[in-house]
Parts: sequence; C-alpha cells; structure tokens
Amino acid sequence: MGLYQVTVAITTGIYIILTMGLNTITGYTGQVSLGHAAFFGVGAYASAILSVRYGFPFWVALPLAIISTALVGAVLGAVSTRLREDSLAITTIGINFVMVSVFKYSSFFGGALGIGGIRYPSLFGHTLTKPEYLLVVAACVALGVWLDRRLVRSWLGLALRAVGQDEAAAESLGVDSPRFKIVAFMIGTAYAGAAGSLYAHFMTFISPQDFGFPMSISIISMAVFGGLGTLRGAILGSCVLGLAPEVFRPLVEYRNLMYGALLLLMMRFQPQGLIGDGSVVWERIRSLFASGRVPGRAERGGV
Amino acid sequence: MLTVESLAVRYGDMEVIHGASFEVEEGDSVAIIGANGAGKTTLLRTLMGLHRNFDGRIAFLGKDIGHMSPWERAKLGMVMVPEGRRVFPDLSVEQNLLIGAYSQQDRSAVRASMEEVYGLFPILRERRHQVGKTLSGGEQQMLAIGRALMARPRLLLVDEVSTGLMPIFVDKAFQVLRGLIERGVSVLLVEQNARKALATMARGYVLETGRIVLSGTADELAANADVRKAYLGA
Repeated sequence: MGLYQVTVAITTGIYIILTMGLNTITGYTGQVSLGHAAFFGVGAYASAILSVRYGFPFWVALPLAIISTALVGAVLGAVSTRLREDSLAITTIGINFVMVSVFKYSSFFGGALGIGGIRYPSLFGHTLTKPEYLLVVAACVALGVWLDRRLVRSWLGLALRAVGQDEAAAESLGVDSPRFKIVAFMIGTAYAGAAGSLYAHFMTFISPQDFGFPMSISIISMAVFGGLGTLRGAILGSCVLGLAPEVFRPLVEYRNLMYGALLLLMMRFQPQGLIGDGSVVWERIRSLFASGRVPGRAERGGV
Repeated sequence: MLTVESLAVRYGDMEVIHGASFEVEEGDSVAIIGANGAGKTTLLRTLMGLHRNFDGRIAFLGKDIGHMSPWERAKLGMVMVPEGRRVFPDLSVEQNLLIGAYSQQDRSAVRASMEEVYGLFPILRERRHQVGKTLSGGEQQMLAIGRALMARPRLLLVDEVSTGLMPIFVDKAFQVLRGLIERGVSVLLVEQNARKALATMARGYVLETGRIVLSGTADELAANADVRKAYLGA
C-alpha cells in the first residue's frame, strides 16, 4: 500500500466514525442533525489545543476530546428535546455555523488561520508512521463498530430506536424520551469527537472551514446513501462517498453537488438507502442468503 | 381511579372538547362512543399527556396528573393502545413487547408477562422475530394491545380497537378486551363501533362534537332511542 492509499484509508476511517455517530443520532433515534461537522470540529480543536498548548500526548488528548465533545453534544441534546423535527434540523444547521464562527473569530481557537503544529502521535519515543497511524484509526473504527453492536442489542439501544420510530407511542409506554435523546446526542457526538481528534493529529493543521456546513452535508449524505438506521449502511456509505472523489478525480470539484444530487435521488427513489432494511439491494442479498425455506418476502404479509 | 372534571381541550385557539366530566372506577369498563371527529382521540391523547393544551382536572389514583409527562403517567399504571395500531415498525415483535415492559425492573416478571401475551396471541409467538411493519393489520392490533399489557396497566386506554380491521379481527379484539376486563384491568375505550363497544363495556358516555351528551350503563345507552338512531343504525 502506497502512502497515497494509506492517506485515503485513514480519511475513510475517519468518515466511518463520523457517520456511525450520526447514525446513532439520526438513524436510531430519529433526531435529524444537519450540523454534525460542528462536533467533528469540537473534537479536533479540543485535541489540538490540549496537544499544542498544554503538551498533552495524543493518547490523553483523544479521550479528553471525546469527553468534551460529548458534553457539548449533551447541551444540544437538551435543546433538541424542546424542538420539533423540522426546527431541530434548522437549529443544528445554525449550530454548525455558530461553531465555525467561534473557531474563526476567537483567538483562543487560532482564528481564521487555525491551529498548526499538532504533533503526530508517538509511542515510547517513536513517532508513528502513516501506516502505523492507519492501524490506530482502524482500531478506533473497530472499537466504534463493537460499541455500536453492543448498543443496538442493549435496553438503551432498544429505547433509542423506539423513540426514533414513534416518540408518542414510546412515551405512553413509559419511555422518558428527552433523556434518551440527550444520551443519543452524547453517544453520537462522542464518535464525532474521536473522529475530530484523529483528524487533527493526522492533518497536524486544522482550520475552521474543515468543519463547515458542507462537511455536515457530506456526513449525512453518507449515512443516507448507505441506509440510515443501519451500521452496515453507515460503513458502506462512508466508503463509497469517501472514495468516489478519489477514484474519479474530476468529481472533487463537484463533490458537494454530487452529494446533494445523491441525497435528493435517494430520498426520492430509495429512502431506505443502498443497503438499508427493506431496500431493493438488501432484500436481494437477504433472499440470496436465506436458506430456501424462509425467503425474505414469503415470510411477510401473513394473514 | 380516573376522574376527569370539566376538561376543555384546545388546538391553538380552537376549543375541541368543551368541559367534559367523566370517571372510571377501579375494575370498571367504560366506552366513550362518538362519530368521527367528535374528539375521541384528542380526549385520550390529553388523558395520556400527549396533548398539553387543556384546562380542567385529570386525577388518577387520587393524584392530579395534569402536569405529568406521558411516561410518568405510564409509570403510575395508565397505558395507552394508540389509534391506528402504531407498533414500532422496524422493531421485532419481541422488541415491541420489551419496550412495553420498559418500566418493569424484574426480568423474570418480564418473561412471565411475555409468556402471558404469547398465550393470549399465539400468532405473535410465531412472528416474534418479524419486524412490526411486516405484520397484518390484525396482528399489529394484537401486538399493540400485547405491548400495552406488558406494562401491567391498572388502567388501559384504548383508542379505536376496530378501525380498519376485518370483521373477524374486530370480534377477536373485543374478545380480548372482555378477557382483560374479566381479569380486573380497568379499561377506557373510545370507539366508533358503538354496537360492539356497548356490548363489551359496562358503562358508556356519548361524545358529540366535543361535549358529553349522554351517559349511563351500556344497556341503558343501547336502549336509548337517540343512541339507537344515531349510532346503532336502528
């Protein structure tokens, strides 16, 4: 694997972590967030400042960045419990712009120039090489996947999905939905915080526009393209949309146009996403692997 | 058990329920019958705490619950079977039931409740790994009722048990309600199908454009000339 491929793989890994987080908030819990990049930024800036200004090593800055981002996420979660779906979407866009302005106009965050000189992580005095850093990112992705599977199988995950699918019904069965929305935002933004920290120490230089609204659109496009509400969809969506501009270089210029167009097409023709539950492709795959007796469709319907 | 006094419910500035008073005693079964648009669903949503724009007093088990959230009411034992069989579409039958047991701490009690629900609706056991939206209308209604039973309700609020169901399932649904009442669960049913509702419940109220215009035992109402004319097609 050449250095270019390693770079692309690291970036894709960071996208996967971001999308998994958004999938928890928007996919499982049904809280539309169009400002996920803001939390990516909080994680990146927290990690950068801890490392550059206070000399914390990456291994300490990473967990601290995760915690700080989750705390900021909790605040947004608390706000979200007072908002309806459409106004939440708009509020999260607003938060994205506010965060970018804060990064841009506050000297604490380095202003428009951003923060440079962020060190690559080192281990026992040895500064990690890019391929070694890829292993760190891969380990974080694996941990993220494992935590996501645990979440989905837990009581907590069940409650999050119930709130996402029918909030009123969940509440009238005793589910305290505001609490679960806050938890969903904390989990999802914690993922974004991890992604931000990994990004900052990989780029070694960050600036406000890395975390703007277009980035949020990229992340939600990935989640929707793959299939909102499923882990496999989040992973596939980040890989396909993350790699597309690399494979088709001319696309780089039109990246946002492409994402926007894809988002519209998916919403119109395949809202379940490419491999979400009930999508054409996923049903095909299921019936291919279903052992003769219970093919996907025959099982349905019933009486 | 449930006492409602001069309840007025609004959407924005428009009042849709005008000073309704009624009660459900412990072990009682009460039907509120009325045509489409009489305010039945709004009434139940207000009782459950899903609609907050109201005046008047709602007391449950002697406590004023008007300021409480739906989940606090559910924890007190008031549980609703929502209109239109709103099961969680992408959760399996078993997961739907587990959400019903959300407030129950004791795992073995949850398993016992689940066995009970499966005993009541054997088809749900067969379909326990299927997701909610793949069930038929009748099965979804059974799941919605089963899910509410998992919460071990003291008072079950039921919104339209019969709408959109084939006649055979309507009978089954009312049969299930009768079984619950016999086991001592208090039931408040709002229902368009007045004939079935009055045949199943002990007492009834008639709701007409946001006002309770009649009340009595189910037999009295079923014999009332106005009720017969307006709701029983006789």
